[in-house]
Amino acid sequence: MELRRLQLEHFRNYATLDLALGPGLHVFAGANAQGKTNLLEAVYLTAVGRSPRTTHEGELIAWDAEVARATGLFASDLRGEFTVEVALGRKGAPEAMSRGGSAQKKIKVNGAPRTLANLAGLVPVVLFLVDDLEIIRGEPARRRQFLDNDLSATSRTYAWALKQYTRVVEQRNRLLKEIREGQRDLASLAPWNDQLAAFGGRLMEVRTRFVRDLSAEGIPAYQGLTSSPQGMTISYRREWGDPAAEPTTREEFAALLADAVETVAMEEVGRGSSLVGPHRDDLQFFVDGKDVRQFGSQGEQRTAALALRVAEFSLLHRLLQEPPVLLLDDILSELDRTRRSAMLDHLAPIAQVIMTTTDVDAVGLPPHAAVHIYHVSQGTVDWTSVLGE
Amino acid sequence: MQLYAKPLQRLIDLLECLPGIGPKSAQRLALHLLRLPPEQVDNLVSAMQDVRTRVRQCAICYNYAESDHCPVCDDPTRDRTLITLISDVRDLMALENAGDYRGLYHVLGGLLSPMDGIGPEQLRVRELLRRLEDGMVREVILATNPTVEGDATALYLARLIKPLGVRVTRIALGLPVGGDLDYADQLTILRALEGRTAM
Ligand SMILES: Nc1ncnc2c1ncn2[C@@H]1O[C@H](COP(=O)(O)OP(=O)(O)OP(=O)(O)O)[C@@H](O)[C@H]1O
Ligand SMILES: [Mg+2]
Ligand SMILES: [Zn+2]
Repeated sequence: MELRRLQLEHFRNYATLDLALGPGLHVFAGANAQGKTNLLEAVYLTAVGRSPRTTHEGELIAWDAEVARATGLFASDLRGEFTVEVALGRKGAPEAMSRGGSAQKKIKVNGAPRTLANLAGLVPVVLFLVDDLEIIRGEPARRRQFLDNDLSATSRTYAWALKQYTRVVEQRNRLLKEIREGQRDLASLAPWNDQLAAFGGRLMEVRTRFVRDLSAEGIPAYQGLTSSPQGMTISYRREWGDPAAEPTTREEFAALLADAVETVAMEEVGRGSSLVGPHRDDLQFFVDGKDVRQFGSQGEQRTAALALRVAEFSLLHRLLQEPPVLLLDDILSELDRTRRSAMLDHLAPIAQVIMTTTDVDAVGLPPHAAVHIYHVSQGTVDWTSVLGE
Repeated sequence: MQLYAKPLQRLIDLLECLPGIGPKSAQRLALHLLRLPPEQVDNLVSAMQDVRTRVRQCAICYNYAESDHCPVCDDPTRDRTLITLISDVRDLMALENAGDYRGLYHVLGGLLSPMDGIGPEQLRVRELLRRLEDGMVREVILATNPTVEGDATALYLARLIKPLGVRVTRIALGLPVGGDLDYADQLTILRALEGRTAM
C-alpha cells in the first residue's frame, strides 16, 4: 500500500496542504509544535477513519474553521488507485461549542459515502507513537485497547462483537448491583450470562489467534532491532477459569467462560461487577524468558514497544500480501542510533515509510533506499531534498 | 427577535417536538398546513383527536384497537396456535405489512434492560403466560430485535416458555444485527451462515 497524495483543509494547524508522495522513505523534520505529528494523524485518519490520538474529533478541526477535510490518494497492487476522504464538521451551534468536542464525520471512498465499519481493512497502516511505550509498561486496559484497536481496524465482525460484548458487560454490571440491593434475583442473570459467554468466546478466539501469530513475528522483529539472538514472544493471559484449559475455538472459550461465571457468581454480586471474561484479560511480553513489563530495563521496554509494531507490520504484510504504510512518530527519542538504523534498513526497502523527527542528522538514514526530506514549519511543508536515488 | 406571526411560530415549535422532524421540516410542514383547504385541516385535526379518544390497547395482544380486541385478534381466519412476540407495536406493523404471517401477536412493551430499569415485571410477561395457559398455543416465535437487549429478552422468555411444552423459535435473519445499520450487510450474512438457532 502506498500513499500517493495527501490533501488537507483546515486540519489542525494546516490551513491547506497538498502533498505528493512516492515509494520509499519520507522524513518530515521540524522543531517542536510545528505540525509533524498532526501530519501522521491525518494520514492515519484517512486510512482508518479515526484519530489515533483523540476520540474528541472536534479537536482535529482548525480552531478558526467549522469543517476539516483530509483526503488520501492510495494505491495498492490489489485495488489500484483510490481516494479516501474524511470530512469533519463541528456538532451543534458553533458559538455554543467550546472548540474541540465531538464532530460529525463523513467518510467517502472514491467519492461514495462509506460507514466507518465498512472502511475496516481497506488501507493497512501501522503507526508507531511515542506513547506506545505504555502498551508495554502501562495498565492492562492499555494492552486490551491495543488488541481491540488492531482487530477492529481489520475486522468488521470483531468490531461488532466487541460493541455487543461491552454492552452486555454494562447491562450485567447494573443487574449485579440490583441483585446486591435485593431488587432482583440471581436467576435474572441467566440471559446475560449466555450472551457474555457467546460474545466473549468470539473475542477470545480472535484475540488468541492474533496474539499467537503476532508472537511468531515478534521473534525476528526483536532480533532484527537488537542484532542479538534473543527474540520477543507474546502471550495472551487470562486470570480466571481453569488455568489448565487451552481452548481454541469460539465454542470452547464460551464454555470456559460460562463455567467461570457460575463459580464467581456470589463474588460478582458482592462487588457489583463482572469479574471474568475478555474485558479482564491481558498480554505478556517476554524477552529471553523474562517478563519485559516487570523486569525489562527502560531500553528493553522501548525496544519491545517498537518490536511489537514491527511484528504487527510483518503480520499484516503476510496476511494481506501487501506491505502496510508505516508511520513512525519521532522514534528518535525511543531508540539508540544502531537500533534505529537496523529498523529502517529492514523496513524502508519493503514499505513506504513516513516518519517525523526533530533532527534529520540523527536519524541514521539507510544508505540504499530513496529518502525524501521535508521541512515542517507552522503548518506548512517544504520539500527539501532527496537522497540516495 | 420574532421571525413569524405568533400562531405560525407556535405551530412550527409544536411540529419540531415530533420525532424525526427538525427545524427545516417543521417550517416546511407549517407552511404547507397554512395553504391547505380548510376541510382538510379539519380532517387532520379530528383524526388526531380520534386516535387520542378512540384508540386503546387490545385486551389480548396489546396491539392498538378500536374496541376490546384489535383487528388481528378479531379475525376468525387467524391461526390461534401461533403467537409472535415483539417488543413494540411498530414491529407488529412491520410484520403485518410484510403480509404473509397468519398467526397472532403479543406486544411485550419493551425489552429487558437493567440500565433502563426494565426487568421482566415491566414487560407483559405475566399476560403472555396467561395466554399460554389453555394449551391452545403450540408455537411462540420470538421476534425481538437482534440487539443485546433483544437477545437477552428472547433468551429469558425461551427459558420460561419451553417447560410449558410450547415450541419456541427465534427469528433473526434479515434484521439489522445490533440494530445498527452500519454493520448490517456483512453481519446479516454472518448470522445467516450461522443459521437459525434452536432455543
Ligand atoms: N485544531 C487545531 N487548530 C489549530 N492548531 C492546532 C489544532 N490542534 C493542534 N494545533 C497546533 O498544532 C501544534 C502541534 O502540532 P504537532 O503535535 O503536530 O507538533 P509536532 O510538530 O509533532 O511537535 P513535537 O516535535 O513537539 O512532537 C500545536 O502548536 C498546536 O497548537
Ligand atoms: Mg509530535
Ligand atoms: Zn389483539
